Amino acid sequence: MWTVSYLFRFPYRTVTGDLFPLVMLRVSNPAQPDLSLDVDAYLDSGAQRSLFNGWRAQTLGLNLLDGETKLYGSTSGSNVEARLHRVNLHHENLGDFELEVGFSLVQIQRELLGRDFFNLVQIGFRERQLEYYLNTTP
Amino acid sequence: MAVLQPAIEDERKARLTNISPTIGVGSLGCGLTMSWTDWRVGTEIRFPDVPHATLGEFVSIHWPTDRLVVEQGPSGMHSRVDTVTIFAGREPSAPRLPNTGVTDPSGRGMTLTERRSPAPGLRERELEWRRTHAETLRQFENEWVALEGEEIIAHNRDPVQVFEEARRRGIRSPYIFYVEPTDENIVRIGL
Repeated sequence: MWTVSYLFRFPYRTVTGDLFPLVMLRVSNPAQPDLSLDVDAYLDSGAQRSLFNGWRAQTLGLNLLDGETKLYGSTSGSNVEARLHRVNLHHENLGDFELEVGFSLVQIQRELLGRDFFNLVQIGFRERQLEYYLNTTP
Repeated sequence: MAVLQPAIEDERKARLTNISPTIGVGSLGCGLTMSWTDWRVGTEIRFPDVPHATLGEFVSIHWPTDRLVVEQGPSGMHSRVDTVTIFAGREPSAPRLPNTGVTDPSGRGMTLTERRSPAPGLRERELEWRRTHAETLRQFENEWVALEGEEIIAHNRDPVQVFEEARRRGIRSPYIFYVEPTDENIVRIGL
């Protein structure tokens, strides 16, 4: 039997009539920390990388098109083109992280925290309980 | 799967309609699970294993159908975990928690979970407002909304305009989200 211990437990939150594992983060530009946004992102273990809206990069003072190009492949086979930029992520309980996030060139409806974020923390889900668990150590 | 689905829905309903007799200060909804025997993080207490205990301060009780959840309210309570004791005296008929009138009607036992709220999360007010004002938000479907406290600062299909308006209002780190259309036929995935 394996036992994993967690410090923090969070309930899923209601959005558009159903419950989802969402994380509220303050995203900022490392070069201009005074430029920040609060982003509600979905925990998505099926995503290789995190993906935010490109407009957010612009408001953070990042030149969207300067970043490395990445294509995010969807289940339909179509791709969402994005540019990678390094940002700071702040969580009230977990602290601060630096992460290279993809910013989409097209508008997306949901911002995703993928396995690159999962690599920074220890995370567990109990879908039946509609809760997820987090630790600061990966 | 057909058998499982109703059970899942029942679980969700139970979660959303917990009866919440409260003593002390309520929790903000995050924390950890502790064991009665050794209090290590990540373990749980089953009711039959707890012969006797008493309620400590700053403890609230939530009572779902078959589970007892004890939550701690104020921040920084982790260091005081040892001051929180829990009553779960099992009596032959209906186990009762002192000072609450709460009993275990199922007689099948309870899972005892101790929670902590180390710090209020970012945007707690706004998230609570979103939870309780879903109908209000429906008029902004397919738009971006900037919410500050309980006030909608701006809404528009162009998120940059929403951001600029929020900044004009002096909000340093705006909380801007997209209001997705509510449609029961839509199953949401990441991409």
